Formats: sequence, C-alpha cells, structure tokens
Amino acid sequence: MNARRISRRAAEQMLGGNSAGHDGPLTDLLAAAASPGRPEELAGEENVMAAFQEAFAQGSPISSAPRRGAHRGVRSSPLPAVLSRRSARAWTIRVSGAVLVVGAVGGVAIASGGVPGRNPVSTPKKPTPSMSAPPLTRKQAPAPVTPAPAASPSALELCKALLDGKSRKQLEPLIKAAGGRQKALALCKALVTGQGGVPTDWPKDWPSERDWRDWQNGWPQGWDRDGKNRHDRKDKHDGHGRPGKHDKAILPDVVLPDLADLWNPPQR
Amino acid sequence: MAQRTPADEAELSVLVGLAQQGDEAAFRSVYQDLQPRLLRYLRALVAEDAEDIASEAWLHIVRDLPSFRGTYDGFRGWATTIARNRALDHVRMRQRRPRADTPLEELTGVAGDHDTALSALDGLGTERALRLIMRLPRDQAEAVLLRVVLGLDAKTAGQVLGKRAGAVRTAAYRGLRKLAGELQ
Repeated sequence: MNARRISRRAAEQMLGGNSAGHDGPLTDLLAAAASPGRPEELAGEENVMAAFQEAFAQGSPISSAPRRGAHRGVRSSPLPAVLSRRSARAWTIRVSGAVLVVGAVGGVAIASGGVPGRNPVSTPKKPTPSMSAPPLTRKQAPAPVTPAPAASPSALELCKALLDGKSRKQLEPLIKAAGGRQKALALCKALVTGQGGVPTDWPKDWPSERDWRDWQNGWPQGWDRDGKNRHDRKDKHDGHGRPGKHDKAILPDVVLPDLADLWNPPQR
Repeated sequence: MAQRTPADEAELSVLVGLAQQGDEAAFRSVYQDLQPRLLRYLRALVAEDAEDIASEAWLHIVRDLPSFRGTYDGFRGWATTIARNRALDHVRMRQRRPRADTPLEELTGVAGDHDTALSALDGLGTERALRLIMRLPRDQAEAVLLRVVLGLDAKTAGQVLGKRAGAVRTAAYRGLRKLAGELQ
C-alpha cells in the first residue's frame, strides 16, 4: 500500500477494525498487533484473581481515595449495602450452586461460554474474537456452570417471554434488576438477538411496550438507533464508520441493571 | 482485529456488572479479554515494566470496580486510563525512555528466530507489529494502540489521553501513514 495514498477515511476504517478493501502489509500489521491474547500475557491472572477474591471477601472494596483520570462514564456511588456485607465465599457458593443464577438473566451462563441456544442469528459465542484464539489462549471462560435443571427457565426463555409481551411472575426479578420493564426489554433484545447496544438513554417518548413484540425484526418504531432523533447527542457520533460502533455512539453511559436484586439473598 | 461484534460488547457489559458484584467467573473473563490489550499498550509506555504496571493497574481496578458505572466500552476506557496513569507515574519516577529502540531491519525482516518463546507464528508477527508501532512518535503510537489494540473509538481514546477525538484521529492517521511507508 502506498503510504501517500491512505485516505483519512481508509485510515479510520482500518483503525476501527474494518480492513475490508484495504488488504496489504499495513492491514496485516494492525491485525497482528491486535491478534488474540497469548497465555504468557495472562501470567499474572491468578494474582489478580486472588486480589479480587480478597477485595470481595473483605466486603466492599470501595476506596476513599479519589480516582485519577476517572472516565466520563464513571460515577461514584456506593455498592449496594447488601453487597458490602457479603463475602466472596458466599458469592461463590451462590453462583455455583444456585439454579436461579443461570435462569435469571443469563449472565453466568454467558460467563461459562454462552447462553445455550441464545442466539438464532449470530454465530456461537466466541468470548473475544479479536483477542482469543482457542489454540493460543488458556481457557476462555471458567469451568462451565452446570446447566440449570428444567425447573428454571433459561435466560433465553425469560427474555423471549418478556419480549413477546407475556406477563409472568418469573419475569419480575429480571424486570426489577433491569430497572424497569422497558430497560429489561432493551437488555433482552440485545442479548437475544445478539445485536448489542443496550439503550439506556431513555427518550421521553419511549415506544410503547407492544412495539417490542416485533423484536425479531428490529428495534421498536420510534427508537432510532442511529440517533437521528437525538439532536442533543449529536456530538456522540465520531463518524469513523466502524460497523456496529454507532450503537454505542448514542449510548455513552449505559448503567447496567442491578443484577444483585435477582439473587434475592435469603439472609437479607 | 480489535473489533468485536455487538453481541460481545453486550455480553462483556453484563460480565462487568456481574464482576462488580463479586462474581469471580465474570471478572476472570473480563480480565482475560482486557489484560493482553493493556499489556501491549503498556509496553509502548514502559517497555519491560509493562507487566508490573499492569498488575498495579489491576489492583487499582479491583479496588474501584464496585464504583464503576458504564458499559464494557466505558470500562475499557476507564481501565486504560488507570493503567496509563500508573505508567506515566512510573516513567516520571524512573525517567525512563518510554520507547524501544529496536533497529528497523530486525523488525521488517523475515520472522526471526530470536524469540523462541513465541513459538506460535502469529505470536511472532504480533511482536514485530507491536515493536514497529512502538517506534512511532509516542502520540502516534499511543493513538494507534488505543484504537487498534484496545479497540477504543476516537472519543474514548481521547478521554484516555486527555485530548480531543480529532487530535487522536490525526495522530493515528499520521502513525498509519508512517507505518505504511516503513512497510514498503
């Protein structure tokens, strides 16, 4: 590739990971730089995991020291009180043993390698296609969690039920965790279809619930994922054309649902 | 490449949320995704001390994890900012030259056999690629690494660097042109 002939647009595409139409040594170099992680790059894993366990065993590891360079998406807020009293051991037991965990929202199932049958559209989960090639990395995810017995609905089932507009008592924890039905719907839509981009910058005229029943075919009418109707967010677009990135451009401060509520701990 | 499908982003965002509540498995997955990226970026800043700085950064990340709010994209930017600040402190303290000074011929030649630890073919390619990028002027190297290796968009990379998105784009663009020129 001729160095003088790289347009800004082409450079932006390559930087965004879209090398289509830009074959050449430069593309190869960038691909090599971003190749899957290697085992030796995870040499410190167990030390970090030990620190993680220790931090959570002591309750909330919230520091009183101010953070430097806090990212814009970061807001200081205390961990829910219930978590601060909780030991890491208790979590381990709960996570590995509780059927509810797998059935509730699918997070653990994701951690263990994907929600079974979760996604009819996209390929099976590869945790990090860009940084993890199976032959070169260690296990991508911890030991799989044993699938939940039939008594507990899968995250997929719950989410589909929710998206289909069904009203079930079983859905309540999911809705509560998501911070409301609409947010739960958006989260489920993202998880079920694999389209990502969980909207949380909720417009005042958020589409009515039944619009979600057409979730297989796209986002509800009135919700413009490209942000066209979101003049106040125009600056979030940086226009580099990375496929899929536009989803995030309008979603800078996604606040995840408080999944702790799902567990409904008995000692509470 | 550094690009992820949206599904991965959504899943990793959920994993960050679970990790914040003490879920070890989720945290491990997040670590396994992010650590190699951080390490490669840090090597451009602190060379052989990258692993130590990465470890320090992770302790900081673990400590402040519960108070983080955002998506995985935001988390990457946040974690990278922590790592970068650690690295810059380290550089100031040691007054160390941040960049490697490997001769170009060594890098652009046929894959050498000097690094037998990296037996995998693309491992060697990765080393070469990273060293070439590290030879760029630092603002260009950082911009390229943040965009390509860490997968940050220009705006988030700008937040990490304390620059405007446009400045990051320009630096990365110049870096790419320079790399392309050297590869000819």
